[in-house]
Amino acid sequence: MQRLCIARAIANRPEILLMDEPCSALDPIATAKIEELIYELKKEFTIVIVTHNMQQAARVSDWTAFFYMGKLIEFDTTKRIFMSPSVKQTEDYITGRFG
Amino acid sequence: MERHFHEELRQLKNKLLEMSFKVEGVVAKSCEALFTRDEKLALEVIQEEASINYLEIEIDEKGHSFFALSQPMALDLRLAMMILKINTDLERMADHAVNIAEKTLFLLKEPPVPLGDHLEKMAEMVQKMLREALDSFLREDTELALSVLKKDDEVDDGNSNFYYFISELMEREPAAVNAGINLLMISHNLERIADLANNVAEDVIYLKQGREVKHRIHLRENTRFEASTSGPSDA
Repeated sequence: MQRLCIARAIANRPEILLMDEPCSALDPIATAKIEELIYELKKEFTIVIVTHNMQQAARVSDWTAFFYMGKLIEFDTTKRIFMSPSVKQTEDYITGRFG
Repeated sequence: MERHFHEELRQLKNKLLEMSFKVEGVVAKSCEALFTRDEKLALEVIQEEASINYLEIEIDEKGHSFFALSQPMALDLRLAMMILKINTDLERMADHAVNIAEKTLFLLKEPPVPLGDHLEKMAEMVQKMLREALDSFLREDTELALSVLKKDDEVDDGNSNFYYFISELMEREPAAVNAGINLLMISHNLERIADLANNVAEDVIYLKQGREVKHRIHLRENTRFEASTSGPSDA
């Protein structure tokens, strides 16, 4: 179903694709297929994904923004956010120490 | 199902192979410089250290980012871990090769001393172990890795034999003491390279079988040594 929705969305050749929790309620195999599809599509489209799955954000994105209570806490390359974030709140969140 | 991060893992493995060729090269060159008393070769080994150090850091950084961004599991996890461990071991081997080259330069200023055949045989065995350990990683061949482990005792024996040979020489000829001390350190460097090649072989077995053979722990436990086990009480 998700893949059908993505196919419909890209039919109009948009500049940006917004995916709000694209893998919610999917099993690991279906999740992997969607993630690989995102990885392919990002070559042609700018994709914005909303996810609460830290691992997924790390796997598929190039840039990551961390929001908390509606406020942007940190925005940087995904590598930087997940390896050495600048803000302690981000570090605490991605390491599971708070939130 | 092929994931995009599998390609990154292949690239990481290829980088490690590049590192292994360089390290195998400096180890061979340092031995040749020692036995042929070739100053130019010894200097080349010392000059190559910087590029090996740089490659070690590059592999480390790529590996850390692979762990952080791809969260590898099972075989992928073991391979990524092994790549980082072997990377460290290879860099240490290159350090030992540089030590051998530096001591060779010192020996060139001293009158030649008879070496017997212990050290040369040991150097040949160490290079064979290293080549086979790296081949076992490249081909993921556990049989070859096991054969490397069996050779380590021979290198240890070679090191002991050379120690007695040089001790006697130094007792007989006090003028050879300076050279003798440096030769003993070279023998120790070779023995350490063999130990590190052993580590690589142990890592290959862990990679393929998920079975820990370090410190001969498998001889004390018949079961697989799982990561969750706290280990034997006498360890």
